[in-house]
Amino acid sequence: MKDAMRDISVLLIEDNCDDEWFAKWTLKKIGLANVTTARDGYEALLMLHGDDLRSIRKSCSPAIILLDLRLPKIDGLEVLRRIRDDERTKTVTVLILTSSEDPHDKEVCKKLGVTAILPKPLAEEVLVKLNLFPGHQGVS
Amino acid sequence: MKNTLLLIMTVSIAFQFLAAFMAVRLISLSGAFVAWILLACGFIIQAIRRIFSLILLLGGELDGDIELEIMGLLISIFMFIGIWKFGPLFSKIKQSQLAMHQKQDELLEINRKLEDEAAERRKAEETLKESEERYRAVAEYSYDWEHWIDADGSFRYISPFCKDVTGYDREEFYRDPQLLQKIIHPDDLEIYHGHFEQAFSCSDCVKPIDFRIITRDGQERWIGHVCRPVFDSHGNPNGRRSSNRDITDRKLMEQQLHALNSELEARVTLRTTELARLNKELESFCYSISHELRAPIARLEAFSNALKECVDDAHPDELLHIAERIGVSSKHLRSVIDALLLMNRITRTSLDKRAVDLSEISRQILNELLEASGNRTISFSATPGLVVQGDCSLLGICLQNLLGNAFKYTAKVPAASIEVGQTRQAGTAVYFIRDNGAGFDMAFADKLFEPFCRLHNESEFEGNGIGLATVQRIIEQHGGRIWAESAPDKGATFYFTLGE
Repeated sequence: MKDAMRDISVLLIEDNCDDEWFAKWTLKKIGLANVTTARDGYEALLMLHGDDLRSIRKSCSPAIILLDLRLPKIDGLEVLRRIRDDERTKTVTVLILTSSEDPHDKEVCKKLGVTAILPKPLAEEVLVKLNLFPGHQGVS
Repeated sequence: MKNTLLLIMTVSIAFQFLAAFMAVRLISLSGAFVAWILLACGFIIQAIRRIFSLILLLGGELDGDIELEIMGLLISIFMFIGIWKFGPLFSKIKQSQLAMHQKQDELLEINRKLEDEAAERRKAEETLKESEERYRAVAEYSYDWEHWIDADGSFRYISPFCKDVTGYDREEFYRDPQLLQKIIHPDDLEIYHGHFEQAFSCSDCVKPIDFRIITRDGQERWIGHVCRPVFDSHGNPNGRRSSNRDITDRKLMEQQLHALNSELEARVTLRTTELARLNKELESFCYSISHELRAPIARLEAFSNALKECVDDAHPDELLHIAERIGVSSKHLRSVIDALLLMNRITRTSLDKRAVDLSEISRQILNELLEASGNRTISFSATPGLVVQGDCSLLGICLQNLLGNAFKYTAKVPAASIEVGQTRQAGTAVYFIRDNGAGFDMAFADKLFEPFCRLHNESEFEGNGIGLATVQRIIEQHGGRIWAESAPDKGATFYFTLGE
């Protein structure tokens, strides 16, 4: 089962190295090993959409995006907005990782169609509860 | 013979008495009392004398003369007739006298009436004069510029005060009825024309108007105009009476009041907006704080859970990593709390201004930073004698943060250099701290001073995101402002003023 999960690509957008470590640790536990990390909003968007001026695009077409809301340069909400505005990433599954309780943030996230808002650091049981991969039941 | 004599004498006596009687009667007609009494007395005395003659005759002492007696009788008769004839004469005289008196009375009456009439007229004239005087006083001494205008626009009356208001004499208005329209402000002419036309077509629906005029000396004045129709004694329309008052002062006050109100409203709106913005900022700041405190605690919790798993699965490398990170997380948490307390202290502290040597403090701070890092070399220069008026400890915190940032962001540069200096912009002293470190994209410059906002990720450069927000507060408390110029990998320069 875990092998089947290996191909699912995940983009983790997180600037804190501990939170990144936890996210990767948890993802690894459920078999998601194909994880790319972006350390700020700008880098993440560069990976997803490329930069037209610089004609650079670090190829990344993730099935799941794990997005922190507090990010350097371009914050998480703006990143989410641009993900949803772009045809290429309009429908991708986005999970928000946050320690914030700001209702405004949560409301905006819901409007922009996120699958879930998860507390940081990422824990295995909350991820499993989401049942993101019905075909891969019992991975944990 | 004797008997004839006696008869003649008797008749004569009778006539004598009758004549006396008639004479007395005439008193009432002619009024000449004494004359008639004397005449009557004459007659009576004559009668008495004849009676004596008669008695003598009867006594035979006298013979009597018939001729004489006949003459006497004739005299008596003539006298009687004469007296008797006086009656109608006097009656006539009396009547004509009465008529004359009557006429005289009538004339007197007419005269009296005429005199009364004349007196009345005089009185009426006086009243009229007084009334005229009163009206003249009312009109001529009117405080307002009054006029009486015909439908064709010509003036029937203008009060002299028009000169005080317009600078033009009333004679000029009489000569040129168009003058009024010529001095009305071009922007208000339409209002006046509309009003004038309406006034003569529908006098009940016309309302007072305000318009401006340009006086002879070129001043602009506001006129408050009210008018009403005039009707003659037969009820026919006879032009309009208008009062024009100089309301410039009132208008100016109104305008000032209006301007004040607008300004006040604008200020209230601005304050409300500002307050709403501050509230929102505060709210967002509270969420930021809670986030910044919760995040490291959540990490510590997660690390403790991970520890158990690592022990179970025997991952010694990870165990070591976790232990190390617990230490880092704890330190971070403490730094966030310290920074928040510091920021709070800054907000509450009142400034203790004195001379502060920025150059000297910068040098000390950099030496401390170098000592703490142990193995870094930095080319540092500070313009000597940058002495400012400010709070020494707060400016120290400021420089600590700014130099700390410069120190941190030059860590990955081979030949790091930091410069502290001064320049001038529009006559104001501007201090700067320049480094040749990582720099940042100016597109994100507006986020630079927001609490907990970072332009670099934590794995590259550590930080709690409160440093620059604190610096900004201190600078603003000093009445100055702070800004930065930079480009990625080209270093950054932070400029600030201190409201000197």
